[in-house]
Amino acid sequence: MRWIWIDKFVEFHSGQSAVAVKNVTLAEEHLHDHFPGFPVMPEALMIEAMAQTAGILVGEANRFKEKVILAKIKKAVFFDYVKPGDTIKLNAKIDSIAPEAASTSGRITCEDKLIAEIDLIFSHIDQNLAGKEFPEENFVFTDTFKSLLRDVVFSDDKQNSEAK
Amino acid sequence: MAEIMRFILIDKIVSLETGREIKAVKNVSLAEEYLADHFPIFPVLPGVLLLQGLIESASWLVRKTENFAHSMILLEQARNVKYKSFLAPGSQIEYTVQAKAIEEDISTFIGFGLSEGQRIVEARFGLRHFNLAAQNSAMAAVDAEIIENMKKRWKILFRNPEDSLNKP
Repeated sequence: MRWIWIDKFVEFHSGQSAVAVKNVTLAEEHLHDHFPGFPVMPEALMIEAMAQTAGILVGEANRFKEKVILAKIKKAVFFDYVKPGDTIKLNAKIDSIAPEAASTSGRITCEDKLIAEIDLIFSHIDQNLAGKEFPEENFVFTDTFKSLLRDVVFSDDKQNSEAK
Repeated sequence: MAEIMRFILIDKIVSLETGREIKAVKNVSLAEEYLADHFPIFPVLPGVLLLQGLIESASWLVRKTENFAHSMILLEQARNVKYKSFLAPGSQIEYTVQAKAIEEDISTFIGFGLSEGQRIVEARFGLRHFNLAAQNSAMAAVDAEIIENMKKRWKILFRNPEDSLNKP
C-alpha cells in the first residue's frame, strides 16, 4: 500500500478552497481485506484523503514552506459507504490559518450523494512542537504531491501568464 | 483459502472483556510499504492508521459481544481525535478501547493508544453494524461469507486457549 489517497485536484483557490477527486478501484489491494467478500473504502482512508486535500491547500497557502501535519480530527461523520467503481469528490476549505496551525472543513460526495463531513486541524510542526527536532528538508510535500496539482492553474499563475 | 493481510492495523488482541473493553497491540516496522511515503526521511505511522487501530479494536469488541451477528461494521463518526506524538518504526503501540454503549446497530467508544508510557492518540468514536441482507435479501450469502472470513481472522488475532472459538 502506497500513501497517496487522492488522484488529482480539479479546483484550487489559493488560501481558500480546493476540490480533489479519488477513484476507488479493486486494483487497490487493501480493499480486499476491508471486507473480505464485500470491499468498501475504509473510512480512516477517506479521512486521510481529506487530510491530503486540505493539507496541500494549507501548505500551498505558505508556498509549501511549512511542514503541515494532521494534529486533530475535530469531527468526521459518515453517511454512506464507498465502493470500487465510485469516484469521490473532496471539497476542502480553510476556516482559519495562523503561523502555528490551520483549521479546515470539508465534505466528501459521490455523484450527488453526501458521504462524509470532515473537519481537521493541522499543525505547522517547526513552529509548534518545541524541543523536537525534525529534518530540515520538507518531507511532507514531495514532488509526488505537487504532481497532483498538474491540472489546476493557480489564479496568480494565470495573472502572470496573462500579464506576459 | 489462505488469508492475505493487506489492511489489518492491529497485530494481536491482548485482552477482551465482552461488552466493556478490549486491548490490542500493533508493531510498527519499516517493512510496511506506506511508511516510505509517510514520510520519506521521516517514517511514522500515519495518524489515520492510529484511528484505524482503534476502530478495528472496537469492531472486534462488537463482533465478540454480539457473537458475530453482523457482517459490516463501519465507522459512523469520530470526534476529538488528538495526536500527541509520533510513532516510529521499531515501536509498539497498545490500544485500549472502552465501550460506552453497544446497541443492536450502533455503538460508541472512547479509546487511546500508549507507547512506552506515552500517549500517542486519543479519540471518541462510534460504529454502525448491519447486514447487507437488511437492504437486499439476495446478499445473505455475502453476509455469511464475510462473517466466516472474520471468524478466521479472529483466530489469528486472539490466541487465548480458553476462547471457545479456538477449540477444535
